Amino acid sequence: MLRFALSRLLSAIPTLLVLVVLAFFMMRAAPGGPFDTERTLPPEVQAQLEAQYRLDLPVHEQLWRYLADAVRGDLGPSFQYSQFSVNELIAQSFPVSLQLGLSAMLLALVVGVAAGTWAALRQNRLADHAIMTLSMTGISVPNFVIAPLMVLLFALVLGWLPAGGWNDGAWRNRVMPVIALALPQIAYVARLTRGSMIEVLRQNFIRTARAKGLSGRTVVLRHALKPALMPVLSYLGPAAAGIITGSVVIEQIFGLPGLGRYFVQGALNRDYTLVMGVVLFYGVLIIAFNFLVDLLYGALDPRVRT
Amino acid sequence: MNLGRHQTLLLRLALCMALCLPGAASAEQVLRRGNGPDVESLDPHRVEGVAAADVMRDLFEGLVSTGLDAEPIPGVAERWEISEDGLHYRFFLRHDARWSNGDAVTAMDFVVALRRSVDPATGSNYSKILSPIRNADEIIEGEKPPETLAVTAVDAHTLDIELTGPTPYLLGQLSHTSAYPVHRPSLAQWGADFAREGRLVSNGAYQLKRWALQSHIELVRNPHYWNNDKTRIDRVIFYTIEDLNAEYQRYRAGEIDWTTGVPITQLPQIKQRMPDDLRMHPYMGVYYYGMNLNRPPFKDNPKLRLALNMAIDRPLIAERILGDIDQAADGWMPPGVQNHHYARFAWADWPREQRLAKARQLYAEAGYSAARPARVEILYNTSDDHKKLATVVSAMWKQWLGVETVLRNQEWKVYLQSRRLQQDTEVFRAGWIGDYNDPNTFMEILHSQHGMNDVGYDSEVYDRLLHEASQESNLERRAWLMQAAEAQLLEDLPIIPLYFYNSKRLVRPTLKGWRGNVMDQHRSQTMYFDPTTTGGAP
Amino acid sequence: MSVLLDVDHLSVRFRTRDGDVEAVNDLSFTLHAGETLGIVGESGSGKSQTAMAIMGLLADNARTRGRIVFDGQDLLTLPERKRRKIRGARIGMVFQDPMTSLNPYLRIGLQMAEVLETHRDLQRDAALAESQRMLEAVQLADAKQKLRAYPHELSGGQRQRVMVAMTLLTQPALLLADEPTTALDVTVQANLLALLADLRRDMGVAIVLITHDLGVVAQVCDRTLVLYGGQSMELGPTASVIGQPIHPYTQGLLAARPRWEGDRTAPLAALPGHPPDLADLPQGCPFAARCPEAQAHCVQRRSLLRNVGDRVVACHLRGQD
Repeated sequence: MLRFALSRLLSAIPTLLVLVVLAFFMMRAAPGGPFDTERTLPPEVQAQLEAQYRLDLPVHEQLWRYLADAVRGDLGPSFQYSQFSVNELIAQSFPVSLQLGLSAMLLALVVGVAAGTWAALRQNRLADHAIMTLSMTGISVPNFVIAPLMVLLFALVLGWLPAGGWNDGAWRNRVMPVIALALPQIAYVARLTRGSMIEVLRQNFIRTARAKGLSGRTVVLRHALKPALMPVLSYLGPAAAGIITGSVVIEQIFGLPGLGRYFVQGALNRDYTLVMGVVLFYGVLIIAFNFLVDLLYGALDPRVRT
Repeated sequence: MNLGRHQTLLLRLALCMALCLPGAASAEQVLRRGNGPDVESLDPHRVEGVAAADVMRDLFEGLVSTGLDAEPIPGVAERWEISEDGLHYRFFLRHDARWSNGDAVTAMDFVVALRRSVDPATGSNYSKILSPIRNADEIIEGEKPPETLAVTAVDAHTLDIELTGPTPYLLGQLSHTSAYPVHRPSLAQWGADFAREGRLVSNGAYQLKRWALQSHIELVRNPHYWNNDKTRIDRVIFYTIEDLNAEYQRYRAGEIDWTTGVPITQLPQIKQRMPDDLRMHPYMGVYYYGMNLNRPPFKDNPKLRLALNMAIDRPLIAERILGDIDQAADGWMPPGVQNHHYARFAWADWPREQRLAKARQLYAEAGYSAARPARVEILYNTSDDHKKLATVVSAMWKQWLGVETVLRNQEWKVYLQSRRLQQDTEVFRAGWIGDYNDPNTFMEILHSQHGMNDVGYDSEVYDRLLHEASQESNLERRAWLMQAAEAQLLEDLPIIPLYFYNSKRLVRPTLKGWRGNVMDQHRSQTMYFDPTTTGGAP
Repeated sequence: MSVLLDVDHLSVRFRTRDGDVEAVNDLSFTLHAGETLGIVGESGSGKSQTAMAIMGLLADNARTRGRIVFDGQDLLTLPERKRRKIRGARIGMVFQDPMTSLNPYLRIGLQMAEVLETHRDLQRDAALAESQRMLEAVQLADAKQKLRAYPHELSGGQRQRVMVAMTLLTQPALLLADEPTTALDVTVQANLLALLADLRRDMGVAIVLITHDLGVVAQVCDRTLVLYGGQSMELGPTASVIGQPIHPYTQGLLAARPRWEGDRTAPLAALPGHPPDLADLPQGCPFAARCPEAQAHCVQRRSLLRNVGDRVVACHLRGQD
């Protein structure tokens, strides 16, 4: 177990390194620099700014210094938010994205698994078709269409929820963003669960469980659910990635101060350090998450453990 | 006292009304403003963009402030004296001007601030605003140290500024963020990081309470402000809302009282549903297409440039594409600029047929025909609105002249670079909003030496006229010189002005104490809510 | 001996998009308490579906006719709630493939204990203790360890014993065993059959043993029912049915068995042809197409079960009406 964790940790390091170096060069390859504005800067001012942010150094030295700082946990100053360091920006915005993402993931799992199970139990009947059609909609309709529609209905017409803003995490402000973010994932999870559950319910050990006279509920919850969830577990990695990318749009639409927006704005503003910092951060997140999923595999499937 | 039921009700009603009247001590007035893109800095010398400037205007106050019509009014300086030749200004500061922590605002605060503003090490985007001050340009270019800036604190409340030439717009410039004072102890303690929540000391009507990045900025009343008694709004909250549609929806939901713009597509509904909320006013800005004079087809080709200009039906564009909320351009300078006599297009009053006929004639004289059409490319930064306009313009060129147009769009930073390099641009989209209320802010950007001259306009006549104007202390003569320069510009036409901006936004009808003005500058301290107003959005 | 189970003109048909499949066709037999009945037939003869019908585990698209009377109640008309009380408690079932019949994600102990928790209302501890006792009764070594084990840690034979133990926890009156030894190798098979015989003796449980292997039937069963095309062909005491088969099909089956003695190079006497298509059963005797003695009226009419000696046979050409 410990060896497993260590080996994963070691293999993570070259991955992150490649990630950062790639981000570094890609950012600099994009035409336009962080200090390009419509109003041209006087040359001396531009020179001073570049010196302050190390842009006057040769490229390999910039990279080397950046890595040296990053290893010590210093991701550098933001080019755009001159008063703030990248560490601060990430520390401020990540909790928002995390709350959003986790809630969405949880919602997706709970609703998706429930819906998928329900559909599997009512296979080929009305409920099944209804759930699968709804999930198809959830996947095909993009969230930048669904979100404004939700705002229109719940904020403007019904007046139940606020139209936007984070309001320091008030629960009312979270409802629509979390739902909008979770919808496509609910759809995927429901479809996955349905297919998987149908497969599992065909298995011999389910027949045995029924032959023992167990109630339908016990058969599904105790015997069928865990094996049916294995494909869903595999999907968690891509689901996390999907939520991360989806959160960029959702944060924009609802005006939430999350990490996704920094990512996009940073790229558009050529804020090199901010983008690299966020890339690195996302990299660590995804690696950690996949590691967690692998651990969960072991926890769920006893055959994997030995 | 034994009150009947009706009397109790009446009493309650009366109490209620008394509490609702403005000026009642218990009712806090909170103004919630949509503010557009995120504010990236609150350091007066690192501030960029309108969103930040609007917040700064409530936090700080310069020597000169702006009134309801954006006219210069006394700020920290209660009066000033200007020498005959217009080169020497003396400002007398209020004795009761204070920072938000109670410290007095002194002349030295301005000296240090102005030096910092022009110091290249500060990295200010707007240092050139202070160009009129003697030695400013040399300091900005790194040739002289910041201490040589011709700004002197005669005593704690008297400030001298010396200029290189008579600058009638200096007072307007001194109300700009780059001329705000800094709190010296804060600067000494925190260095460049003094402008943060919990640290920022400001001298305006408000102080910083909360700065939640990407979310909102909350300001509260500065009790030490010299004019605090007149301030009625107690709290101002600026919300970061980048998308115009999202901003509109939050306004409709009652979450904000003031927007930065309106989504064009929603305009008909807005005009129908909430006509009293929609406020428009001319805004000192021009939307134009620049033509690259360094290369064909526009190099040495005035006739083509003129033909392209004349073939565009600007009123039609303004009405159909812009929804009638921006104004068709008839010259280079937008209306409402002070100290100016306007020049207009030579064909501004011609009937349509005559204009188009002349355009075709010029096109032919330039050597083009149906067999040999002109081919041009319009470059614009990615946006649906720019695309729409470019499509319409190219359609007009095609229809009336037979010009073959290609549209190219680039992401903002890439587009900026393309413009700047002037290597492969032909026609490119541009917009310019004046920094101060004087024609110079529009004229100087086409000076041959100016950093923003992406069209490569190089006219000896034009440059000379601008130089003469900068040396002329008589306002009237100066105005005529500027007009002559504008006329020359409209003859050479290195640009295609399309329309003049209007500021457009939604504001609750109950919000009073402000007016539309040509610089779209509004201070929250003059505003207040008057609940007795009727009408407006629910 | 009292009648425990009375299957009376049982028919099971499955409605599919391509038509109806008649899996069991007018089948009747009885079972007495403590008795072992072997049901023999090829695949598709309806043996498993008969067991599933008794258990009430038929698929959703199944339609039944007839009666299955157990403990004085017609199981086919019982509401599901009541049926579930019988299933796994009074009637137990052991399935063919031990490798896949246990849930790989749950420990053995839990899978056994839940039977007692459901049917006897026991708490987990008591249920586990009882399960351990039962594992010992089926001669599984290290019973206590086995409770905590997962199925993949056990061999096929061990798993089958667990299955048997699991069904016996509630001391059922009837045990249905659907090809319990088919997936096991020979020695393990022998052990399991010996176990079944012991249980029958010690617990008095009636067993219905479904198999295609006549050898198994010969070892364990008191009576034998031969099925073909979902219909009963011959039913009687095992010794008689196997020793002196009367029905042509039974005769063919026995003739087709590979023999240890005799000429081993001689070709096997296989029955010609294929089992009938259950979706399209012939009007007459289902075996007529392959019967060496088939006559014209065999194809036209089904034969009723006739008494011939100590058994009943469904053949026009055997016995008198």
